[in-house]
Amino acid sequence: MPDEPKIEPANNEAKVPAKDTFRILIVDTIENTLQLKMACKKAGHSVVAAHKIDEAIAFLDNEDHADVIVCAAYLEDESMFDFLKQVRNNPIHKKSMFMILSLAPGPAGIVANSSTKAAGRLLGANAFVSMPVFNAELLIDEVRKLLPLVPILEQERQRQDSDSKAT
Amino acid sequence: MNDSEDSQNRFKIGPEYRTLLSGASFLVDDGHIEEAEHIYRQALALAKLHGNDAEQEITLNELVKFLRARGRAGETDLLINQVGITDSKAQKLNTTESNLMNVIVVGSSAGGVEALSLLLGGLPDDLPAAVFVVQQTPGHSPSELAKMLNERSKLLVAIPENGETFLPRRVYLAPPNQHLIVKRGTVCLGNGPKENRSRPAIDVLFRTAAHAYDSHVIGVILSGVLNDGTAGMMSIKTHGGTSIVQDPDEAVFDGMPRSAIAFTKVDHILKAAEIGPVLGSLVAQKLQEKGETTTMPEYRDQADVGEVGGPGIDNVAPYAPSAQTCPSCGGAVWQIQEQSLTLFKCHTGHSYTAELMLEEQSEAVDAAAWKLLRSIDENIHLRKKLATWARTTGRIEEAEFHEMQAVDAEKQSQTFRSLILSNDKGRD
Repeated sequence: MPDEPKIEPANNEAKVPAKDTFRILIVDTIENTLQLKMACKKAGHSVVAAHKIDEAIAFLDNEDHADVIVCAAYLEDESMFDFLKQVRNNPIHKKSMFMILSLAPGPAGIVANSSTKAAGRLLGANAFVSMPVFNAELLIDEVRKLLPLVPILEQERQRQDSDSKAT
Repeated sequence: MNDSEDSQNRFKIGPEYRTLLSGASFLVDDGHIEEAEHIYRQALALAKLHGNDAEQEITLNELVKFLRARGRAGETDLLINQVGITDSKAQKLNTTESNLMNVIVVGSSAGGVEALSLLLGGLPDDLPAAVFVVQQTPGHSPSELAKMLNERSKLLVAIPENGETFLPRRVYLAPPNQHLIVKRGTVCLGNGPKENRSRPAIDVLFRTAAHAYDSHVIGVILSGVLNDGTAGMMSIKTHGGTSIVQDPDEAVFDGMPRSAIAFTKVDHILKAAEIGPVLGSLVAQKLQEKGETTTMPEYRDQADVGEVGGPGIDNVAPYAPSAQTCPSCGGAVWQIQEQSLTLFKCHTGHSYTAELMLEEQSEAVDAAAWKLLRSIDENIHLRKKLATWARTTGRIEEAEFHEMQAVDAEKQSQTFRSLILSNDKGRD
C-alpha cells in the first residue's frame, strides 16, 4: 500500500480570499513537485504532491478531493493515461480538472507532445501544457486558466460540509 | 551544457513514449481506432528518434499486434522499413547479437509459394534466428506475396532495405529483380549478374549466408524446377551448415529438391508443414551447442566467386576454360567443378548449371534460326521491289535477274521454315 500524500495548506501570507483558493494534486518528479508546491502555496492554493500514480490514487481513493490534477507524462514506469482513465471513470473525481504536463524537448518532443496532446484530449484531459524546461511559475499561470472551470470549489465544499454539520 | 541537455532529453523522452503506447491502447478501448493508429505510428517514430532499439522493438510489436487485430496483417511489412537503427547500435549488434545469431535461408521457386507459407506458419514466434527468403518465380506481386506470407506467418515478413541491420524473429523477403545478400549483421540487396537466369537467385543468398555465418546457417530448399539452390546448398554444407529439403513427393515441382538430394548430403527431408517446427528445435540446439560463430574461414570453395558472383576478368586463372560463351552477356565462360556439380560462370558473373546452359543454348539456336529466316524473307521482299522498279524504267534484264534470285530465295525460305517448324514440333 503506497504512502498516502499529505495535504499541505497554502502559505498564510498569501492572503487570498477563501473562494479563490483551490486544492491542487501534483503528480511529478520530486524535483519538480518541490518547485511547484512552493509556487502553488505562494499563490494561495493547498497542495498534495505525489511522485507515483499509486500514491495519487491512494489519496483520491480515500475520497479526498482535488480541484485540479496536474500529472506529468514523463514519469518512469508510470502511465499518465492510465491515471487519467481511472480519474475519469471514478464517479467522485471525474469532474476534476486534469492537466497533462510534458517536458519533452527537441524534434522528438514535437512528436511526443502532439501525440500526447491528441490522445489526452480524446481520453478526457482538460489541458495540456508543454515546456522545454520545467517552470513552476509558468505552470501556475496555466493552472489559473483552468480554475474558472472547476465545478465545485474546495471552499464551497467545506462550507457545505460545515453547514450540514451545523444543521 | 549541450551534453547534459542531451542526456536530459533522452531521459525524458523514453518514459513519454511508453506513456503514449498506453494512451494508444486506451484509445483502442474507447473505440478511437484511427487516432490510436496515429499515436502508435507516432510512438514508433519517436522510438526511432530516441534511438533505442528495445523501444523500437516494443513499439513495433504493439503496432503489429494492433494491425493484426484489425485484419491488416499485410500492412506490417511496410513498418519494418520505417524502423531505422542507428549506426552505433548496428555496430553493437554486429559484435554481440549477430555473432550469436542463427541464420535460416529458404530458396523456393515454381510451385513453392504454398510450401513457403506452410513453412513460415510453422515457425515458432520466438524463433531466435533471422529468416531470409528468395522466391524465384513469385507468381504474385512482391507486395502481395509479403502480405500473404504475413497473414500466415507469426513472424513479421518484410522486404528489407539495402544495408539494413537484421534482427531475429523476422523474415526478410527478396524484392523483385534484386539479389538478397547476407553479410555479418546486415542484409544487402544487389543488382549482381543473374545466376541460373534468376535475380533474386537462391544460390547467391545461400552462398553469402554460408560465408558470413558458417555452421550457423540452415538452408531450406522447397519446390522448383531444374537445380537452382544446389550449388548454394553445397556452400552451406562445405561451411558446416545444416540442410533441409522439402519432400520431393510432396513438392509441386520436384526438380530442385531432387537435385539437392542427388548432389549434396541432405540432413533432413521433410514435408513443408514439418519444416517450421524442426527449424525451431534445430536453432535451439545450435544455440546450445556453440556460444559463438567461428571466425570467417580463409578458404573459398570453388563455386564461390564473390558476392556479386563474378571472378572478374583478371581473376579467372584458377578456373578451367569451357569453350562456351555466356548466353546473357557473350563473355567468356569458365567451368567450375564443385564436387560432382558442374557450373558455368562467365567473368562478369552470370552462372549456369550445365542443364540451364543447355537450355539457354537451345534458345539461342532457336532465335538464330528465326533470325536467318527473317533475313531471307527480307531479302526476297527487297529483290521483288527492285525488280518492279527496274521494269518500270525499262531495265528488263536487271528485273529478270532479281526475279530469278527471289524465286531461289523463296525456295530456301520454305525449306528453312519447314525445318524450323518440324524442329519445334520435335521439341514440344
